[in-house]
Amino acid sequence: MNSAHDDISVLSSDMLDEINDPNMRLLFELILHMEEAEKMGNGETIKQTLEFAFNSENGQIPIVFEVESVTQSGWWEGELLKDNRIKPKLEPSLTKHDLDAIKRGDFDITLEGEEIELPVFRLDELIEQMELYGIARPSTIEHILSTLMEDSSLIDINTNVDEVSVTQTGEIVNETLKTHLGNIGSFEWNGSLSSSLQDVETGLLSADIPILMVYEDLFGYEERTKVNGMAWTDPTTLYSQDKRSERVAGLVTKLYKTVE
Amino acid sequence: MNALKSLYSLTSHNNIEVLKSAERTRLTLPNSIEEWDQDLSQKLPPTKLPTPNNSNYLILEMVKRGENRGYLLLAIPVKIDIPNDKSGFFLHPNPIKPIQINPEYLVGEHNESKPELILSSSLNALQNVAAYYQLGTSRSWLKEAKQLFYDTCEVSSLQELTKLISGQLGNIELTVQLSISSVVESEGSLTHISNLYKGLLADRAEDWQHTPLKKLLATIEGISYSQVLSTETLEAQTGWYSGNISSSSIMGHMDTKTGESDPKKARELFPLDNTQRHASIMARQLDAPRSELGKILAVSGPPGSGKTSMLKAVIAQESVLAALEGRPCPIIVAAGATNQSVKNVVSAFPDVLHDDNDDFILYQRWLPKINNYGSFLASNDALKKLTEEEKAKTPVIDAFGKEKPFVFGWTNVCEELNHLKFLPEHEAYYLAKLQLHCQKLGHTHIDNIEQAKLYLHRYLTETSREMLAAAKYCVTQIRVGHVEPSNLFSISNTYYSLPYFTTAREEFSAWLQMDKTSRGYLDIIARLNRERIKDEDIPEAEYGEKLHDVTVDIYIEHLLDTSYRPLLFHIAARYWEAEYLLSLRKSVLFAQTEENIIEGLRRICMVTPVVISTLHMLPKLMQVKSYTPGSIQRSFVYGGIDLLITDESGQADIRLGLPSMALCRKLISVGDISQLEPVIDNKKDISAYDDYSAWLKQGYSAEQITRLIELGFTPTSGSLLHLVIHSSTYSYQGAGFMLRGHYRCFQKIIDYCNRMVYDEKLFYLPNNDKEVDPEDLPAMAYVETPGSSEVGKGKKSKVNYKEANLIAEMVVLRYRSWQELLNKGDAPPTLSSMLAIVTPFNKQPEAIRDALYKTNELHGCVIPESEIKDTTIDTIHKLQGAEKDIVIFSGVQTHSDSARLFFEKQPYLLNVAVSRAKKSFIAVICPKLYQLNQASFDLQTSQGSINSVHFLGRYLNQYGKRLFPKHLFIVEAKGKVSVLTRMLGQEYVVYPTNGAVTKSGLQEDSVETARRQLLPNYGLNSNGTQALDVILTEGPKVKSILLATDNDNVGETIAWHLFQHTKKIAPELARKMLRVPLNAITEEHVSLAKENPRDFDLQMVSAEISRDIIDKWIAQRMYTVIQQHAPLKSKKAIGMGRVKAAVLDLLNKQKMEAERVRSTSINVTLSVNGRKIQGRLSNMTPNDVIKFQNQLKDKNITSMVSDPDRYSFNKLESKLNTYSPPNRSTAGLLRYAYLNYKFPPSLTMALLQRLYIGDDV
Repeated sequence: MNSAHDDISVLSSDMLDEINDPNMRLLFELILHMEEAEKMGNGETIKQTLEFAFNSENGQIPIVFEVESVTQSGWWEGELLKDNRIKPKLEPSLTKHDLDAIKRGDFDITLEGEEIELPVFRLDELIEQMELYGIARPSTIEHILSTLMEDSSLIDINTNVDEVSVTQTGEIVNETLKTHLGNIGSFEWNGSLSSSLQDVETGLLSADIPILMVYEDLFGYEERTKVNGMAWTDPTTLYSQDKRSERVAGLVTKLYKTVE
Repeated sequence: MNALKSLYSLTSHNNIEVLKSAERTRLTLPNSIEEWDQDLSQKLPPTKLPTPNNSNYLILEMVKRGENRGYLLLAIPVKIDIPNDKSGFFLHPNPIKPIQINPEYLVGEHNESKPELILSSSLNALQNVAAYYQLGTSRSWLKEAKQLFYDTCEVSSLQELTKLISGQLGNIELTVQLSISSVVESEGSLTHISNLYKGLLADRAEDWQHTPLKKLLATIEGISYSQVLSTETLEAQTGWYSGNISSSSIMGHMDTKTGESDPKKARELFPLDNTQRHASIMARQLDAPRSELGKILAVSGPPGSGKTSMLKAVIAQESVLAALEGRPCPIIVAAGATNQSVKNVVSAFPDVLHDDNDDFILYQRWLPKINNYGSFLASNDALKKLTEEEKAKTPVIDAFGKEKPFVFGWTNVCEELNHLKFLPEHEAYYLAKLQLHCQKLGHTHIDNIEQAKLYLHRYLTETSREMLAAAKYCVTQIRVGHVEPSNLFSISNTYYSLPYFTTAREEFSAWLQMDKTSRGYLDIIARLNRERIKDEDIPEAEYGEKLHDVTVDIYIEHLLDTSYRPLLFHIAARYWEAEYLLSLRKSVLFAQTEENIIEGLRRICMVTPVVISTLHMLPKLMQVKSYTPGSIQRSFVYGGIDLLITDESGQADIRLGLPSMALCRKLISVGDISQLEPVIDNKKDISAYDDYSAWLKQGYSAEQITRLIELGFTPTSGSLLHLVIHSSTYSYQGAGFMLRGHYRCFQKIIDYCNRMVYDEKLFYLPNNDKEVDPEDLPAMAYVETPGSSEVGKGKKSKVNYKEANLIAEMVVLRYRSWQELLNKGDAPPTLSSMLAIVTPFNKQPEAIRDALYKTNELHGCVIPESEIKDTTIDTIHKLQGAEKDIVIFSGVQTHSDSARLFFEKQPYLLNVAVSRAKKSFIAVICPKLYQLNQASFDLQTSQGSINSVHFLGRYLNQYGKRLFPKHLFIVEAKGKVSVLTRMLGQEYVVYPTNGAVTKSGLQEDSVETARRQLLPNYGLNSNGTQALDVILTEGPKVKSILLATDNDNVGETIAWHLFQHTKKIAPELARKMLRVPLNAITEEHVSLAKENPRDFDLQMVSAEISRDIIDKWIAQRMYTVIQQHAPLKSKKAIGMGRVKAAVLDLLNKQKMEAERVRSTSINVTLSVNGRKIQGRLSNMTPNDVIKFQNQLKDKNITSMVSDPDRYSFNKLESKLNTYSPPNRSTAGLLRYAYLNYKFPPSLTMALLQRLYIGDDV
């Protein structure tokens, strides 16, 4: 196996026979399946979107119907997605005959009365989103998830019912933070910070920029201008100077004599 | 006389411990137990007959019920007499041995702890512990024994004694048991010594008064004379220039073969150094002193000090002088105290031989078959220990009785020299060689041996005169200023010229012409007068004035040593060969009479000037077995050996060595009291107490015995050499002589010994401060032991298996490189010729050898098995006198097992171990036990006499080099250590930081804090401190420090922090640091990483540091906000950070979006051509959605077909979508492992980590 921070690859698939631990075998196979998926290439679809307008008393309301059909199955045919819950449901595409009928007005539209079900948010989706928005780094994502799973006071990650949800306390905390910090801490803000840090890592940005940006967000513009001079660009300077501020104060409190 | 008796009793002593375990025959208890002495003096019933031998004892024990053996209280030596009809047996007295009361049960200093039972608490009881009685009847004998026993125990009956002991043991039930114990007699090794003692005690004392034994015994008694010599006296012996001597003090020397193919380098001889010279000169002068001085010379020879060279000169000189003076051939015997010393002496003489195709006929042997200048009187055991090569080179002799016409003869290589039938052939061979020699020199042809002998005598005499003339001429030439090399000292072209001679003569000539203040002049004086300059602290400015003349003398001596002196030896050797052939014609020697023994030995010495023997065998050589009518019937030929040399005399048990001193006229004992002492088993042989009581029995007072012990004159306190040193006829700078040159080990090696035990008296060759390879084979090296010691099989000695494996791997992996480094000739050296492994613990050698076989097999048998078999892997005791290029010392014991080592206060053990190594001493030791990491090395306070173990550790710290590991390999995760350790091997030490190394923690949310945090002060956390400690400790010992933390921001930053901290404290170590991020743990990736270090990626570090700063600020702020504002009751424990907040926000937003969709949309179905397509009517107002849903509810329907006219079709859009396979990032794997197998992230990560490391799968 290679480093946990690039794409993980199997160094020799022959090694499968050497693995005794059944879970480890599964994981090893999973990586093989993922490698296989990569080789099999992309899945491709055509998505046909039919847009209707409903003429209500309050004006037109759009109605959208979508039909997605596969043109190239690619990695979807592989072992990785076999028996998988997220395998996309695909339909045959609309034919000319169907479209002609629609254009002729030869169709029915039925309005369904039942309430729309709230989608269930799963752990894998959370992970996907976290990766997508740059929340947590590869080296810390597992630690964060595990911490959240252990302590369910704010977020409940329930693998038994396959659902991730925010607890009531979580909602209150989130609301409080939003009220007092605004955008700071939101996943969008976090995403942008992550991307700045990424730029620092690749050398596109000086470390001072995200630091001072956040400093300003937290302590205001004026305060930020005061610390501009303290910024460091080369981390080596952190070691090359004595950064302790000079002590200009007494070491004990003043003693007062008790007066009778 | 009493000393001899004491020593004899200790030689034949049967230790109580031995008696305890000996086979025994139980006796039926007499009817009246209290009358046991009377009953046992009758005929005893034949129930079971004991086996009679010389070591039967009647023993009295107290036995617990149901047991066979018990507390042994009394042992009475007896002789068993069984009548022919075997109707019973009798006990007779055996007055040779003492009656013994078990000293274990007597209170006294000899018992370290309180005895288990106490027979007597009176200190006087010790006086009775062993007693001899005059021969009497068995009745009186047993009665005396009983009386002694009862008196000692202060009891009057066995019943009383039984009660006393039972009471001491908690009133257990005890019965008296009497039995006959039969100790298996140790036939063999001590037989000859025992016979010699008996002879000495039985023969008249005046028979051996002319031998060194007389003076040695007097020394024991405190009467000793020694002539103390001054430097001036010694220098006057060679005062060619500084004085006016009329003869050469040294009359012979031996040159040796080098093995070099270049004829100019094929032979070598180095001149004697000053100390060797002084000892050799005084050896010659033993013949002339006042009688009370005796004829004894003690020579202390530290390791590698050229004892053998000195002895060769002495032997050569004896041989030359006897020939010159027309005396009989001297009998010279060299006896070694140990097998190793005998082996060394044996191996010293074959190389003296010149090849038969040598140009210099005179230097060749003129007798056929003989290939050595020494003959070996070997025991069968010793013969077995010789390698095939040694056997082929070593003429072995034995003593013969009446069945052969020679008393002593060769049994192998030159066996035919014994036989008269070959004599004509041998004479012809001799004369043919002589003929060739004469032809070459243009001398007249000689056709008979008698004439040949006369010719050689003349030739020898002339050459010795020529030598004297050459030395005197040299002085004259110097005085008149003719100092060109050939003018200065000329030798005939026909003489064999040794390489050193030519170089020395040129240097001498140049030196004489140098300015007396020049560097070259002074350096040469310093080199040639090193002892005097140091001892007398002579400043350089005085060299010319004080040492010029003496230096001239030394040069002349060096030139004589390397020209005339070996020549004299070879002429004498040819002379004695002629004498041998003549002697065979003169008489046959059938019986081992005194005269025949002498003549027989002389004949052996005519062929090989020295006979080599062990001290054990020595008496056999001189034992008289036949007597001519009317002769005095002495048991041995006292004083028969003209010169006895004892080697490794510091290892010679005084019991073993002393009696043999009666067999010689002159004695030279060499050895070293700073090396190993004799090995005496205090359980099986004699204890210090046995020793003490034996002297006490012979009438020595406690004060006298204390003196003997202090001087090392008793078997358990010293050695033969201790005594000889105090008896030495001549002494210089202390008792006896000391050789002070060192010619074996590299300077760094012997310097340890020099400082520890030799008071820095040793000198090295000036060019000896070197190493084979400072990295791969340093002179002093160490490796920290990986394991811990434990008690080995048999619960007697410690073993350390991990250490054994490490040593095995070290040897196997380095075998080839050692061969390359040590290769001298065409064939690569064998393991056994390069290496010895020594250890202080006797179970460890086996563990190492086993490990070596196994490891070698695992590595495809790099080393031929036979080489492992032949390699010395043994305890240090077995190795004194031996030498190897590389010596590995396996320390075995670890501090965790025991903090004290048994030899701490016995510096000789490590002195011997270290000084075996010529080029590299490698100690595999416990760093804590040896104080290896103690940087301070203060010679004043850490003298070896205080603790030799610590001295070694500190010495290695300062002057040694760690052989491996050579690289420190730092990783993050502990889990990687074992697999990387295996992968990287012995060269690397892998250390995990166990995560981040700097302190991290939240503080209050304030501007001040934030400002401070903006410039973080990176103090190390405990992981960091430990890592830095390891860097600072290991760093100086390694070549490189590889920072192999992960290839991500965190890993980069850990490496960078460690680098920065190291740079601050130890910049020299920071320079050794290399950043080698690992991409995978495979040999390929690891070696790729090692070979491709890169600079620190400061951008990664910046990203990590800025993230850390930001995260702190955010977390501090969020915590404050929650604590201040969240409408929650219990919120103290709610921790919040940037990432957690983002997750919370993400989930919240997802939920809100779902809610919005639900409240503003309704599902719709489009039916067309019978096909149903799901869609959604969105962007409604929530009220409209509710209204619609209520409408359906009211109508009690779930769906409603809508009027198509209310809908208009706007457009169709077709779009191509692409779905990439998931990437295999950590997140991707976590996701799919959860999706496919429901693995929680922690499990997936743990599995991934294990797969990454590849261990434990």
